[in-house]
Amino acid sequence: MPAPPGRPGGTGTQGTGEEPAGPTTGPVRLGGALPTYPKLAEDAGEEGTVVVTVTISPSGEVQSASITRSSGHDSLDAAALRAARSWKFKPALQRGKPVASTQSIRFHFAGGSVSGG
Amino acid sequence: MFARLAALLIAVTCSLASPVVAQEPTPAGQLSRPPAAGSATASGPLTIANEFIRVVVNRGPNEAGRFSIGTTGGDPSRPQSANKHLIFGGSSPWTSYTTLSIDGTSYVFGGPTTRRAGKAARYGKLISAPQITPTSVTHLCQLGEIEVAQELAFMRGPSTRMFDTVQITYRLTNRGAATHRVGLRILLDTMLGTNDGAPVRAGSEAITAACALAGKAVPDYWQAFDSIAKPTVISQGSLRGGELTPPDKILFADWGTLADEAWEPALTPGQGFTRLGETDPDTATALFWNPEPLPPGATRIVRTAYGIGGVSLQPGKLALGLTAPSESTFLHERTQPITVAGYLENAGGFDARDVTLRLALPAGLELVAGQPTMQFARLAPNETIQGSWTLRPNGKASGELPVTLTATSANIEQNSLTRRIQVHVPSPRLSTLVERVSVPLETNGLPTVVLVPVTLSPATSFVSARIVLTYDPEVIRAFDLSRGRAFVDQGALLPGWSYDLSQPGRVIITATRGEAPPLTQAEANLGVVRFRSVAPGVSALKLEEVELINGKGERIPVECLDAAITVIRAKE
Repeated sequence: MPAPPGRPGGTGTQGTGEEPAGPTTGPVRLGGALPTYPKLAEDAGEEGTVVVTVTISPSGEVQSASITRSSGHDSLDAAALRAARSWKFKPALQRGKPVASTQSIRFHFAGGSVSGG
Repeated sequence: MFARLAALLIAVTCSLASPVVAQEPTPAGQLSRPPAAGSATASGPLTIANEFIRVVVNRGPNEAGRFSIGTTGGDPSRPQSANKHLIFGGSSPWTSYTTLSIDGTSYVFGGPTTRRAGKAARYGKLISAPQITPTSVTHLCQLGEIEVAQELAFMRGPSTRMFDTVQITYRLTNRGAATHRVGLRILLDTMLGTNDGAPVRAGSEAITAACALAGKAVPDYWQAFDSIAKPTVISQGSLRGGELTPPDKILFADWGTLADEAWEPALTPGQGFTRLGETDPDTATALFWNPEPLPPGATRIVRTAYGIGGVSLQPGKLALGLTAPSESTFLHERTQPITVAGYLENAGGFDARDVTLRLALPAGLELVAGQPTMQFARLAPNETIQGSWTLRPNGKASGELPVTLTATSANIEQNSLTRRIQVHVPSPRLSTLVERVSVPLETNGLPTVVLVPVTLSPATSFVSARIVLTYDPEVIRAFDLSRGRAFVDQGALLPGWSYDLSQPGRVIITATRGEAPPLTQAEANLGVVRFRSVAPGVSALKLEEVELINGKGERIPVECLDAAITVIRAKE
């Protein structure tokens, strides 16, 4: 789950040395769909939970994404990764200034449905 | 070859004798060897199969009634087509489903689902156990006030003439007290062999992006291939002909787009076939029969067909493909045209220059639409061109008639391909085509004259004829008879023409054509009888004796069509 505004949720990774005034918050998810349950995985009854860790740029784009917990099924992992890469965020703020951050996203594939985010 | 024939014979024997337990599909798109007849285990799917094709129907409770189709022996002329998928799904089909639109609300036929395909729609209830025979599976379902019977049964493929096609029938009956607007959608998740993104052609047109074809743009058939270049298995959805109900619309799109919306999804023009949210191409087809009012107690029947496709292929540097219905019938004025589609691919590895694609037709088939010759200045390597032609039997020849497609090029050797169409021509029909069936007794103070041509259609060749036409001499009287064009050859009158009008109520034509060239026109006029009105009344015109003899001295069977003339006192 993305952290609510005003509360640190991710990890800021860029500092400037200066200490401007303003809030410090984690990134906030603005948009992006849940993964599609891959047809062949659904047909085969494959289920599982995937955790994807994304790096979010100061502009709110996903810079990189990687699997930090695999479902054990390549197609579910790939679907989660694809979905996470397409998400948009309001960037994390450090003392009011946008900074890069990381965020973990958990997706659960079961019974033909996908939940999480 | 003999072993294969023997295997087919064994399969035929089994299908007539005893059911065999259904088997599970194997991975990698290949189906295991088929059971030979209708079968069902307590928990497994319902399966019917013959030596060509199999249908697997989900027993449920989830997705009950949904089905998949695959080959068993497949196309005998293409051994690699055996044991291949034609529709996605193994022992538990769920990706293809059928929707009813009832007063604007979508209901999915059969058991409910927790899966992606049809999850959001409403469901009804199965109202009886499925009926399975060696050649059909039937489910009965109640959706709102509409009772729906789904029957899947083997039929002869329109392009192959073998029982390698599944006839998909829905009977929609309104069991309520009010009229409902009811429409139907069938979603078929095409998968050819291991290719879930099977390329599709609608008639002769390659479908390269999502599209909707409606009304007259709906083709006679559509085909899917595991590979366009080197197909090992080809399927065909037939939309017209026989008892089939042409759909109002057909959509081609990626499976996800069609499966996520139970009725009609919005298509993005040019949208490819990659599943939404995924990377794999996945073609699917949705057939629509628009909602129509269905009064209480009324039944609407929707019927379509899907099975093994018949395409003749001729490899070469100019590789050719040709598809056509396997048979057609001349039906006088009701003859239905047929569509023939051809493909040419430059497999030569270099440009082909001055390419010509030509379709040659036999005497019994005529071109209704399309150019018999198509020319292209250049055809790049691996480039494919296609042609489509509309043909119609003209009654001039019957039997297995060859249709030949020939490709020539200035720098690549010629290639040609012949496909045969069984053309049926029924017995010729002799009729008296009365100009006016009702005439006044007098015209300008004189008895009215009525012309009655005696016409043979199609113009079957004969060497001699004797025809007796009877009428009521109290109402009309024959007073003259002119020679028909069948007895004139290039302006010269053939000898042996005579007639007799001396017997009241009888016109007798006796004529020979002898060694005259065969008749080639669609119809032959044997004579025109002139009648004069005598008194008010009705006179039948009856072809009482008709004897046409062919060159072997045999009598030609002829269907006779009688007529009548009414003479009335008042001038009209």
